[in-house]
Amino acid sequence: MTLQRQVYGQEVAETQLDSGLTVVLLKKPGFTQQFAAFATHYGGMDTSFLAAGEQKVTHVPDGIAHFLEHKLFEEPDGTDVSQQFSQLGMTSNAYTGPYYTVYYFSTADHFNAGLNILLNFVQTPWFTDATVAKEQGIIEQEIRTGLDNPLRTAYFNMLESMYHYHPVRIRVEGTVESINRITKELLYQCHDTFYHPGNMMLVATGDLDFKAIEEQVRRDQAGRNYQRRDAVARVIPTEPPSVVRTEIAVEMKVSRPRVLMGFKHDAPPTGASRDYQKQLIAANLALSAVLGRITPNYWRLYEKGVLTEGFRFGYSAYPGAGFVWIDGESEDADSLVDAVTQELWRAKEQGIHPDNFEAARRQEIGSFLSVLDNPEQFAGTFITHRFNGLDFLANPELLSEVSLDDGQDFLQQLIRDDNRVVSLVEPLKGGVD
Amino acid sequence: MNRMTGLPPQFATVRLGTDMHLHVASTETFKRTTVAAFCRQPLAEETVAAVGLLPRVLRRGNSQWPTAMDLERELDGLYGTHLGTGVQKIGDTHLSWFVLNLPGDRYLDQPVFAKGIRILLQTMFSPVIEGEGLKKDYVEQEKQLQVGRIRSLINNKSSWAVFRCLQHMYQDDPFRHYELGTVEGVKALSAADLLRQHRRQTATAPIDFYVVGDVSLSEAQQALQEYTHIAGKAQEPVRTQVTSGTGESRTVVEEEVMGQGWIVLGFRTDVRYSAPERHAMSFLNGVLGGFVHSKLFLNVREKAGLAYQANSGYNANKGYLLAIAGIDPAKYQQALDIMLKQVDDLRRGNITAMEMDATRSRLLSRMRLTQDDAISRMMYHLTGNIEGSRATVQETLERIAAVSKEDVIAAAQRLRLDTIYFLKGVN
Repeated sequence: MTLQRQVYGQEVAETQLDSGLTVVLLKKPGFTQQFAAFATHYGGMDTSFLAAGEQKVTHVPDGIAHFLEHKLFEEPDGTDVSQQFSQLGMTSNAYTGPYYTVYYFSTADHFNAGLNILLNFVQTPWFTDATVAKEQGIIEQEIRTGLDNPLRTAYFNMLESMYHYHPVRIRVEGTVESINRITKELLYQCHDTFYHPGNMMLVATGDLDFKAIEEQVRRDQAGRNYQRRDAVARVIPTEPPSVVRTEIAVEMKVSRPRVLMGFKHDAPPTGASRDYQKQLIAANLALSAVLGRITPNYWRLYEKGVLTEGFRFGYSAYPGAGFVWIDGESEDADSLVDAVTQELWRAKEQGIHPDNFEAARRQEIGSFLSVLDNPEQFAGTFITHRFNGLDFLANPELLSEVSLDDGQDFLQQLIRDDNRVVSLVEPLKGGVD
Repeated sequence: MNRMTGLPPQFATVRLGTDMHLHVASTETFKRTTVAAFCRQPLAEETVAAVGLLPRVLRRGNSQWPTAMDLERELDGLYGTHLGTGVQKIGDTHLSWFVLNLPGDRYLDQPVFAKGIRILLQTMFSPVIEGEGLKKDYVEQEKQLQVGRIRSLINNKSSWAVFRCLQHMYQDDPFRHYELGTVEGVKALSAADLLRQHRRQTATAPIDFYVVGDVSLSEAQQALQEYTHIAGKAQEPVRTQVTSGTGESRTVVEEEVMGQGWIVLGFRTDVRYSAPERHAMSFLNGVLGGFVHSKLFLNVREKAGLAYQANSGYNANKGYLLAIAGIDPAKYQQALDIMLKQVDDLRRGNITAMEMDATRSRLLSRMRLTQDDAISRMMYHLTGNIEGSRATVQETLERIAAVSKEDVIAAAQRLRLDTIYFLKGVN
């Protein structure tokens, strides 16, 4: 059964094959680019789970999903599969997030050839002790690049201060220590558990034909003899509502402080629903209406130099976890934290300005259209929504349904004293030369 | 889509005034419309800070919508239309840009295109004036933010290493100027300086307007009409200096408190953007470090496992090439030797057919894919105009297709190592 949908003239076709794999085409007439992402609902958070047929919980080292992403590119003959794409003039790459890993290629033609390579390498694990050891060196450098990055440092310090146990606090690449505990056996086990087609989806974009793609993927799956399996059981420890600590500050070689602040959602909805998605939209509209460029307060702070144009905020939702985050660089970090907190409290107590809420709603419609114009981003957003139990294409409809009261409810629930974390990266004492 | 070339409709151009042109690519491919205006000046010490700051001050308000709030409300009424302003360097040209991104009219209850153009033009040409200068508060606030931006360059280590390497390479060249100027230069600016710069730019700088979206040439021309009288006299075109240097290389080591180290090898060439050899040089960069099949990626990362990032980039406008790797500082010598050996291999002609084929496919496909992105299409067209090379996309594709191994080897002989830069992480 093919499900056909259309939103703002954007056609989307979707089907589920017998193997359990979901296949989607986001049709882009007139685009030169042909693109496909093969994604698994598996990421940095998934370090404790029940492997297929097992009764006992398996615990694996942090960073293994990302490590696996790197290693799948290596072919049994020692070459990197990127070379095969490159020979055909195609780019390929992958990224790992907290609950997703996405492999993709992009091309201007010969889509079928690229798709075959993609399907094949992701479903064909091949690891040896020697190649695992070599990758540890490469990933160690990737981890160190991240450690020198002030935003990443501030962000993960915030999450580690917010969550006692929930795995959203785990750094996707792991640590130098944890990746050195990864073995080829563990990699095979994770691949077997999480790279089953029932846990995956293939999303193509471009001026392409859905029937042809569906047929090609169906043939691929038929040759691999998958048995249907139940969904993977992930073990997520009970997270207390409290935060670990309310403040954390470290020093790095930066020109000015980086501020990450967050409000922990102590009872985020579990499981997917239309209501949940509506709450997320309400949350983001409320934040824009209170903190965004449409508010006089934004410009007051801008004029004082308390916030700079990189100021961003949002509500992030993960399975079993959710939080508001606010990110800014400021010469005056304390004033930024105080001003943002004060504005949120004021809106909580006195109400969100209805005009600002409507303004935020209009902006979101515009943003939705810009995602449609960027096929890679569109595919990525579609996938991460789906793995989180959400439907990206439903956003315009939900946007029109969300009310000011929904936004207000969100502030009532989230903006408190006891769930706030402030994470700072400050310049080294002694100043910047 | 043109059946012969496989390319979407290209830009149609009309002249709006002396040195003022409008280029429109009408297409239904995108759901949003992108409009941009580019204003060219020479990159020069006396003007770099003012040119760099001006778009920021203009973005704050104009005579019709004098405050940022007024402007935000107006943009918001147009369904979250974005207005961005800034500067960048294209060779020795200092380019100011004003970009408007709006939803396509056919997806909305009320049209927004003509209204958006009005905001863009007001922003460019009708600043808020106070006495002898631009509005003082805006100037002072934007100066402070600009200083913060310049200082924050150091927060991203790999781009800091690239920035430092280029500063060493182009010590006596206009290209040494950072597009935003220096902290001292920005601090010294007055509101009157900015008004003078605005008047000078408006009167003399060539301006190109671009539109990519579901808009016809005549619709765009009509929306811009009332401003065409502004165009003034033509200024001398900027000609980028491209020189291969003395051929002697220097090594520069700088230390920062951080975990990693970054090696940047700065090479100069004497190949101008308009020279036919540009395609061979870009090809050389592809074989050396532009892609995952390239020598740097394979040898520094995949074989030696020394880096996560190991690649190279070619700036065709200025004619330099940089090779970069993020490494464990203790392994500097080993990484440097491997990187230099890859360049040496190119000079000796150690290039496989596979490297040639893969690079060719990737360059061709990359060129074709620029057609899916409005800004990339504009930048390709504009760069050609600036550097005096008006090859169409189709002609460029043909030239890339024709590059031979001999061309690449010949290009390698014109690559001169200028600076070995090492940003060394220390505790």
